[in-house]
Amino acid sequence: MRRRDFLQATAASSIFALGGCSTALRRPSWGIIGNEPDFTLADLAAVAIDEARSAGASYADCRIADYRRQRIFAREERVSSINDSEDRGFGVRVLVDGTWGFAASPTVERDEIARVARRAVSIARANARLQREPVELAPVDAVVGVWSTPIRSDPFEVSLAEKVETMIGINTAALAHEGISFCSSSMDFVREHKLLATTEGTCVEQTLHRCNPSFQVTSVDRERGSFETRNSFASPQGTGYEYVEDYPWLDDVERAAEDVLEKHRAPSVEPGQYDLILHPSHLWLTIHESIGHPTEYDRALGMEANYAGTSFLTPDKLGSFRLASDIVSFGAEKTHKGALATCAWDDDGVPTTEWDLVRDGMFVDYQITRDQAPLLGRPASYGCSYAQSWRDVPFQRMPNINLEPGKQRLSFADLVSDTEEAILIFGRGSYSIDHQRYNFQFGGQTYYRVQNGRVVGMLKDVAYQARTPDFWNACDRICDETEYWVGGSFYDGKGEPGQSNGVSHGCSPARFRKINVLNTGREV
Amino acid sequence: MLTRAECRAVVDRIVELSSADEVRVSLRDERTTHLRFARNTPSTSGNVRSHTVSVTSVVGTRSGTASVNQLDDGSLRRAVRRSEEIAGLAPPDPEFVEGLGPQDYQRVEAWSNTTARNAPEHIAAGSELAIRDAREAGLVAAGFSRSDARVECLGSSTGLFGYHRSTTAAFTETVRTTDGTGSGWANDASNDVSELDYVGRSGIAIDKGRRSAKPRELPPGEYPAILEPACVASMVGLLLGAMDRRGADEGRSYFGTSDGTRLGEELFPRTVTIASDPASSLAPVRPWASDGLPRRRVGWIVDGTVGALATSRYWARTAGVEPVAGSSNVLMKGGAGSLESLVRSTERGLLVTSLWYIRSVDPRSLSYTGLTRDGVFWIENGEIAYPVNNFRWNDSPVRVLKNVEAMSRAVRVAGRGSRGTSSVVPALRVSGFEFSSVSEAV
Repeated sequence: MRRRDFLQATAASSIFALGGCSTALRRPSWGIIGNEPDFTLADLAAVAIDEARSAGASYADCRIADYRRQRIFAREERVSSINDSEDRGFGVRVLVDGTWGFAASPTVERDEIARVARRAVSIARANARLQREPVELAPVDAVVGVWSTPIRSDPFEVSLAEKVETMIGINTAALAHEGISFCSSSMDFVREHKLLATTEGTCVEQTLHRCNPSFQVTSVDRERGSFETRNSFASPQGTGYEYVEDYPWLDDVERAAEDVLEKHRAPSVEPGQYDLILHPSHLWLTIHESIGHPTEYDRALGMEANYAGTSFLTPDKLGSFRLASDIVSFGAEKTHKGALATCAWDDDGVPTTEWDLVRDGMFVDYQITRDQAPLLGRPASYGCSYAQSWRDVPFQRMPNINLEPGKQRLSFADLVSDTEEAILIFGRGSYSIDHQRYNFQFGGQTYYRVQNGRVVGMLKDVAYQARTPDFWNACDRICDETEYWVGGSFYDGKGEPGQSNGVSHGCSPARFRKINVLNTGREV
Repeated sequence: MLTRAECRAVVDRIVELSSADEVRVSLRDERTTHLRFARNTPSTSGNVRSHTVSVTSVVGTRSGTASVNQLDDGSLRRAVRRSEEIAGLAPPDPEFVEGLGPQDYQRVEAWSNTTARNAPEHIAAGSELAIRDAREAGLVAAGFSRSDARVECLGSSTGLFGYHRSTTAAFTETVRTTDGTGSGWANDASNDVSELDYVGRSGIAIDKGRRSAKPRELPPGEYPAILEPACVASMVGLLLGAMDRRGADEGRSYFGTSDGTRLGEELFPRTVTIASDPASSLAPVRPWASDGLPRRRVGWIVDGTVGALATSRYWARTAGVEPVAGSSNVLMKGGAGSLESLVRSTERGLLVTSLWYIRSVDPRSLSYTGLTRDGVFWIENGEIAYPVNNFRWNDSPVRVLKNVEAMSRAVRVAGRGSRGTSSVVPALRVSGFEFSSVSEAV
């Protein structure tokens, strides 16, 4: 099979058909399962609300949450670890004299809830004397409801034996290839259940599911003192176990084994300027880092200056800055089925929605929460508040952010055929970007050379380095919606204390002109 | 916080509830206080108490772990039952290693009553001073201070028991100019919150913020550099993270060679010595590893030579060597002088405050990429001449340590996010560091 045929087959194969699709519903009405939150939890949350209000809070909310997590790790033909955890508690957040206070405890009992609520008020009051910018919350209608991620198969009901069989099957399939030295596989599952009640009358209960299955194949070349790896192209999802059941593990691992062996023989890339064709299995992370993070309004304000950083997308650029070529538009949402950040209400109790961040290449909006909307002059929050657990303070976290597919009909195969000279990149690799999101460097899992419309062979030691606006302005082709694929991050970190957030990014393959490529291989 | 007797009671209860061949318990009780500020005003703050009980049941060579965060009897029963269910369903483990019996753990003094009792007041007062000083200087401060009081306990049905309590406190601050062209950063860490020097460290961040404003353009390239302790803590941490015996033996690590490992190889100048010691008063840490193996003083790099590789109990048995618990804290031997004297003795080069967004590029050569952040300065004839732009760098901790020319005395570092308070490292002057492209970020 010619390399081009092989890659065309790959693009159409079930490996890349499973990342998701563009047919997601536009509102998460499909997950609403009632309008009567758990009475016992609501009653307990009311203790915090009442106590905080009587202690002087102008606003208070209480999240009572429990988390179930399972992580299984298998290496070669053995299961290295199986960890199953439950984590339950509550957090009370209050506003006193325009200053936030927060306290949390694992003991979900009336007396403790009242004590913690008073503690949150006392913290807010102590810090209020330092306050120079009193917090103002954008209005939101009170809402009562119950929502759950629609799942076909609850991962916590699926037997361990079934999961272990899948993982050992993956590892064994890889090891059957001569030259494959190691294979490890893992599965992570999370069920997040929480009830949020506020002084404004909101009371919402949600159950969110996320999963993150993966594997890594390694080949050691002892003679050269070298080794190569290739990770799975599976991606974390906001679904139940059905993603694991439907994913073509054996196709992916067979390909991975072939890829990793070919990497040993592949020529090392010559550094220089190249056109790049980025497959969505790779491009989602570039979107996350270079578009997702700089459009966070807290970064633009300087709220993350001591940790995650600020943003080159300062408010004066809103509506007037060309961030990308005119074929590029990015939308934000927390409403697409199967995406990691999807829910019905955020942790401020704001209904989730969708909106534009970049339209026809122009930077048009940010991600905001209730306490940010007034600072930006917006009438309402977009529902971007999230806390990773009951013990953490909710703050602005990234929604799902997607690159709109090209409007002209263009398949992945056509894009390759239409390209004279380029490097084609698949998969998530090394990634690093500066604290204002200008300068980035990305690697992938596999790299191919494209010449005269054909994929002519594998390369290795590839990374590209660019400046965000230059990179997105160099985008000249985006495949159509038939090639749309959703990747995502299970652990997107931000904040102090650090918190992680799950977030998805959908896109179709795209081409970028004249990007600086480095050779990452070196001797030390 | 849970006392030794209370922890012992939890362990005993779990052992009593267990019907497995062996049961291992890990217990943690934590109280965290934090205050975050930005734009010269507080943003978020919190006070959190949490527990974690982790139960590992062993049936034959099968095992499973279940964790709960409640200490009531029902929760403990649930953890025991679930871990036994998992163990019953898990396949036999060919790498199974039986649990440790009673161990003699070092006594580590890491507790401060001041931190445990009065951290909120100290953090609020210190942060207030830091904000005040930045505001009065016409600059914009963002910072974070946290304290943790923690009890950790380890126990098992085979007689293992350990109890350790510790406190840590940390402060980091970024001070930016109002025109957005300058940014400085400083940090401090201690087990005693009253020892945090909010005013002094804030003064450093203010000074760096001012001096870094309106940086000159400097093209990328390899330059001599002084890497401040925060940079060195990052680099040495990456090196130690790769110093694992199994990965080296299996040939998938920089420390593996075509015919063995780099143990005993003289990799670095003889001035480079890096150790761990849980009982060090400079940065005391828990005296056992997660599997219960006692942490002792280990010389990872001794006079430039690879002295040890972390080795799990399973791999030690397989390879016929002694197990070595992984690095607990990082104690790098420094020189006698200050950072300032290191600058004075430098003819030309770059002074780098901190490194950011470090990611692996090539594990074969232990190569990483990342950015400089919050203050890069050109040194000319022993003086800081002017600020320059930030850079992306592509380099390896191996090459950094091979290039060491001089070092300051070692100091304790708090990493960004005020986590990672267990590194005590010097600033290093290296003959070359690869700054691969310009970052216009400030």
